Amino acid sequence: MTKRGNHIPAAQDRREFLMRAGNGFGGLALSYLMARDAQAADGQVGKPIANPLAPRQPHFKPKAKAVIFLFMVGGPSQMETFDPKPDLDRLHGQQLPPSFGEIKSQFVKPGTPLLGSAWKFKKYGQSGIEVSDLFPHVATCVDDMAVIRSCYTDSFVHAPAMYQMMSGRVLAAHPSLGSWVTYGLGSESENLPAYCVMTQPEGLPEGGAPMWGPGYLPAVYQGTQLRNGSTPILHLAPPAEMGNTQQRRLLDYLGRMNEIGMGSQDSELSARIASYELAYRMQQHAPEAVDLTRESKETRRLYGLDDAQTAEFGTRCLLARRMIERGVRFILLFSGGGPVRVQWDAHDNMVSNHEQMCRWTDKPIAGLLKDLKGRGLLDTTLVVWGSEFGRTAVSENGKGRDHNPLGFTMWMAGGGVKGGQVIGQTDEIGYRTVGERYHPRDIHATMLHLLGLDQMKLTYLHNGRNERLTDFGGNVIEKLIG
Amino acid sequence: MKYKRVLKLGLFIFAVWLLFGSRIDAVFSGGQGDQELVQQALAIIESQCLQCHGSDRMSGLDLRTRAALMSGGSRGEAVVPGDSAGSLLFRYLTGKESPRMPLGGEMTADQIEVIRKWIDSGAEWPADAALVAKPAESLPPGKAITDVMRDYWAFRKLVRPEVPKVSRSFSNPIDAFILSELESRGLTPSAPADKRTLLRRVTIDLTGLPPTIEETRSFLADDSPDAYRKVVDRLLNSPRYGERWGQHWLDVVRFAETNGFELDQDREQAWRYRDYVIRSINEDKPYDRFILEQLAGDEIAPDDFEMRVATGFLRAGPQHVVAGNQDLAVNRQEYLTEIMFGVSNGIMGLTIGCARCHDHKFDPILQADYYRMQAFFASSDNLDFKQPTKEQEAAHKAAMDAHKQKLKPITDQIDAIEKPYKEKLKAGKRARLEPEYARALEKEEKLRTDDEKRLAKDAQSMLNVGWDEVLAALNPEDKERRAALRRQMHAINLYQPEPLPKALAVSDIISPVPAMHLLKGGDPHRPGAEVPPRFLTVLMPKDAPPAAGITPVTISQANGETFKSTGRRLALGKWLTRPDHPLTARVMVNRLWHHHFGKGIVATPNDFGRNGQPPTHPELLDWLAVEFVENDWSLKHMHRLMVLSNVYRQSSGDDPAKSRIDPDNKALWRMNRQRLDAEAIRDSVLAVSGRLTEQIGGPPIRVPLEPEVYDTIFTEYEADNLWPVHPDPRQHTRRSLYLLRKRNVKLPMLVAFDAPDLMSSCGARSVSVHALQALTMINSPFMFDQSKALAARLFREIPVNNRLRIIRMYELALGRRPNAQELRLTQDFLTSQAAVIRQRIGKGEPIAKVDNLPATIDKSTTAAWVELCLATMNLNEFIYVR
Repeated sequence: MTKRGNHIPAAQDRREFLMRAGNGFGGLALSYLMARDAQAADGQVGKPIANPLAPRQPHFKPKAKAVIFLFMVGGPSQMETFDPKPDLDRLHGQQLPPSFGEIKSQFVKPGTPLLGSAWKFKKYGQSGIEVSDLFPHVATCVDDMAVIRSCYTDSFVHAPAMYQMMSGRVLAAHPSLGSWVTYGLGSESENLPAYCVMTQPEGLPEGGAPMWGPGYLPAVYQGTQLRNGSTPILHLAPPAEMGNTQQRRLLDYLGRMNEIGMGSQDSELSARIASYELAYRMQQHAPEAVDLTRESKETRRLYGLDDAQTAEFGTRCLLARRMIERGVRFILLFSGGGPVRVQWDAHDNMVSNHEQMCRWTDKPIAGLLKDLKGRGLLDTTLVVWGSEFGRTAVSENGKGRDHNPLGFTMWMAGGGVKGGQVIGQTDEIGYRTVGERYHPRDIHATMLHLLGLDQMKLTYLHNGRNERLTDFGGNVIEKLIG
Repeated sequence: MKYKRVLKLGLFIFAVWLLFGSRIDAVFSGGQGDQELVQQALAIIESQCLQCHGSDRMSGLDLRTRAALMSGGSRGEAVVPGDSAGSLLFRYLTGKESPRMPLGGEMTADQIEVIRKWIDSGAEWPADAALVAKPAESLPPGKAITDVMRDYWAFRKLVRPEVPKVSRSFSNPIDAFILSELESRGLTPSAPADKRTLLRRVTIDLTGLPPTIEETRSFLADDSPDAYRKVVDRLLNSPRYGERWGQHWLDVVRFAETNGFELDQDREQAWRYRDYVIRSINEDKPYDRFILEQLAGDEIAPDDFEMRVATGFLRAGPQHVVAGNQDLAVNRQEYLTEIMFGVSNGIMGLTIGCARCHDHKFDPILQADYYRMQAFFASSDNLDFKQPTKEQEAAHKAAMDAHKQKLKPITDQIDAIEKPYKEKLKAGKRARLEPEYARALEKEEKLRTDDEKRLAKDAQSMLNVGWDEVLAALNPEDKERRAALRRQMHAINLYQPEPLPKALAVSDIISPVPAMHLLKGGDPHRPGAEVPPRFLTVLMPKDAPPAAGITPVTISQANGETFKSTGRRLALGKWLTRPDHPLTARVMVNRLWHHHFGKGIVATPNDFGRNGQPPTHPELLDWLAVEFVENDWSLKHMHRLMVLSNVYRQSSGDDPAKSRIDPDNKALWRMNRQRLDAEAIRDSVLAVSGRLTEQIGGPPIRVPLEPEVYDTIFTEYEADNLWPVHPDPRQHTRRSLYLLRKRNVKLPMLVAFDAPDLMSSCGARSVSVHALQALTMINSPFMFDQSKALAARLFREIPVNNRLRIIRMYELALGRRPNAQELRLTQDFLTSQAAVIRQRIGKGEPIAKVDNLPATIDKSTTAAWVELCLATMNLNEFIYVR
């Protein structure tokens, strides 16, 4: 129980108390919610949703409870990071062998020569997985990572591919992954939004807000964009002219007035009263959640907060861990956004671009994985690293690469993932997948599975169709699961 | 393994050389060989190209005869004999031009090589040879449409049912239907709502705004039997009615003023469609006419600007517009898909989108039906329609010139600041170029080898100086000067002259009319059989002829030329608005019912199919639909019927006994309580605070945006003017439907209260309750400002008496007077809150200030009033309509 005013009259019995007491998500309009929450969301039509974020039972026993999706905006190069291509290096400067067909992408012209990688790969860990010199810190975590080298998406244009990676479709109209997850599982956090988004300070990814939008799910399931500073949520702080004491008194008065003449069975209005209490709690506790001064020097160093190059992304990674500790369900963390210079979209120069982007993110990501592991959180936290696509084997503008959705790398760690393995492969030049290949639908099906959600059961009825994240279904990547 | 693959590659090339090289040798060994080459080439064209470039003449290109081949297509000459590289045909086949041909098919490398050789050797074509397309593929059989399917409730012919006999008396047939159902379930209706509740309910319902104090008092004072009817007439004649119900229609057509997707560009003058909707609804335009105009306004009255605006319905959906290589066939299909969503969800209440890839799983809609419906739009595309007079054009040009003159000194100064930085940056880049690039660039253009040409081109792009690099290089002083100049520039641009009027319209401009094909799996690159325009099979009599009654429409243009529109959209519109169309009227009366009662007779207004909800009162639905059609499709007639019914006028209070029988109130034994929707909450706040600017129509307004919301506007460019706020603050307090509807950036308050996503048709908004709503309602600057405005208004209207002021606040905000308990608690709150505020003043902390009040009024009291006003606009009773 939090410290509370006395504005809620004495309840006659426990049931009524739970119904009326705005005691955060746990007790909010409980009996009403009990009926609805026996199982994961079922997409009812026309019914008001009293506490749409109450925690819900998954479909089966989950391995992961929460997700951190590290989204590298613009498309990191697979052949420069996690997918070594010595043949490509050898063919550097030559024309694409005709057997590969023509390379199609958004900008690249036919007849452009191949581009080799400027970095060397080394084997790491017990698994001996090869990682390029761009990721020396992340490389030390390979034994916890399952590296999927045969991902593909359906569009070579940023935004549609981003929408697909986030919502399963190339269109911007569908609910995002995090929305589906919070719709399915609700929130464990009483003081923070269930689905948090942290963008690059320089700007948004090209796909913009629809990437974490709720689509046709109720708006409550949209990702909440956290801002810098001590009040991370929009409208979190009371107006400057109104102090905390006044606001508490105002809320007490409001609650009291709302209860006059209200039926004791009125769950929707009870929930509305409770929502103010929850808002007040967020206001009290969210600033603490984002207060990094409480972290030890070692921890701060682990995330690279002591280095100007890594401090920004490291801060957001550290915030992600603090949110996981506080029950946030889904965190979408972007590296890159705004000006092209601040994205992984290396059209002009692989070297200058990826040196910068990897430098900014390598240590913080490794820090996050190690810290989660050290605190015993990695087992239940699924960390995903990926992007909307990878890059072409042929060059663009001399030393850059264009977009390549036909074969690229993502990796997952924690949350029930069997680490230390490589899944799938691309051809000699890293252009197309060879053999088993994984669409975002498969990635999503796997992520839902780890969270205890059955992709076919997590549905929402919209304009006559039981919509699903994975549309007509993906395949769970069984070998990825530990 | 990799080694093996490379080896395989080599073997493959060798094999191709063996096979192919030897054949080519044969070709050049004599006349016989040439003949063979020609035969091969023509066979390839026949099998690969004629599906589209035969009688369909896609892009104007016909490849059936030599003469047709040589006359080329709309993109130019197809073949230059002797020069394959310069022949468009070859360039499309090899992907040098986009889209790569054949669309949806694939040519093997040796087929392409045959075509190359054929062109290079003169593109011979025997004089008498005329190619014939393969017989068209037949349609997939599709699932059988049976009589049972035709007899589904939503597809049945509209017949007016008998009004049921019930034991209670009624004056409105609606009540008979409701009572009949209630009686059959052992239920009785609730008592009528009191007058204040009813007035607030019907006023917000019909206008989206709460009643004024004067309206409340006048209604209370009117004891005549038709007092309520007079109120309803007044409300239906108020322009606010068209705004409110226009909003509902805009939800259905997912109207927005930007394209959506990553760039989300503005659709300049899209607001004209919004205003057209408001006007049409205020005029009580018959709904059949309203639909016809939106589908085919250009074919009804081509010279009527407004009719062109109406067709904006067809382009209201999102559209993906982006640079770079595009798949034109996919883009076109997306465009047509959006149109189909609008027509099917919006007008027909069907989800035929499922049939895009396969026969509909739940409803009797064939995949072929989907593309037959699409064929009504085969030649339709966006066309911005303008018809300015010479004088308008001259005036606009003069205004623009004057505007540019104002800007020029500023942009010149900005250029002057940037120039030395740009030059320096470029020089630096040039100096750092790797030698091969530098050498290529230094070489005279004419002397460059192919390789060097490429290097030089790449080098040029390496020398580009980005705006962000310039910005980063500026010294602090220049940076500040430049920023100030840009602010000046943006300020001037706020007063940029209005553009010449244009209608974001749709016309049949694709000529000749492309043949439409069923697309296998919905894939534009896998065309199946050709389909003509035709209505849904299940809605047609069993042996109906395939023709859709289409007559082309001749449109004369301003330049004197005439232009033929296909008449297809008009035919579709006429079919949809036939008095006996089973869906159009049913769907619309259900939409009206949904908004009046909080839930439709069919709870899924956009889906009358089997996956939607069945009607709770099927006979009432049919009766209403017939009533609607027979009363000239008048919306106002239907509103009157519904809101004058007893079922609408009953109390929304709970009754545990009845609740046990019908917990979801499906039988309507009481009125449903409704939460205000997002726009109504914001508009009500403004109406109560007295700040609402009532002004109909016009360009959309950008209101001040929280910085963190501003940051969500995507740009790769300088982010200093992405949201030019309207210079006149009175415009910031317009009704919500006049605020810019930008797909990717919405007002947090509206989003929090479930405003639709603007990407797909919204027939019923969700209603959720969560903490972010509370945060925006108690903490947002908007709410605090309006609370100050309300406090100021109350002090202005009731300068001295606290008690009377509280009563007035209740009447304004809730349409009633406070009871004794409320009055006491409120007075206590004011007193004790003022005491807390005095402590704040003592500590020198800021407090809420109310402007323009006499200095004699105690500051702590007014600040407490601001907080009271804030609390009152947060009451459940303010947010809900009982």
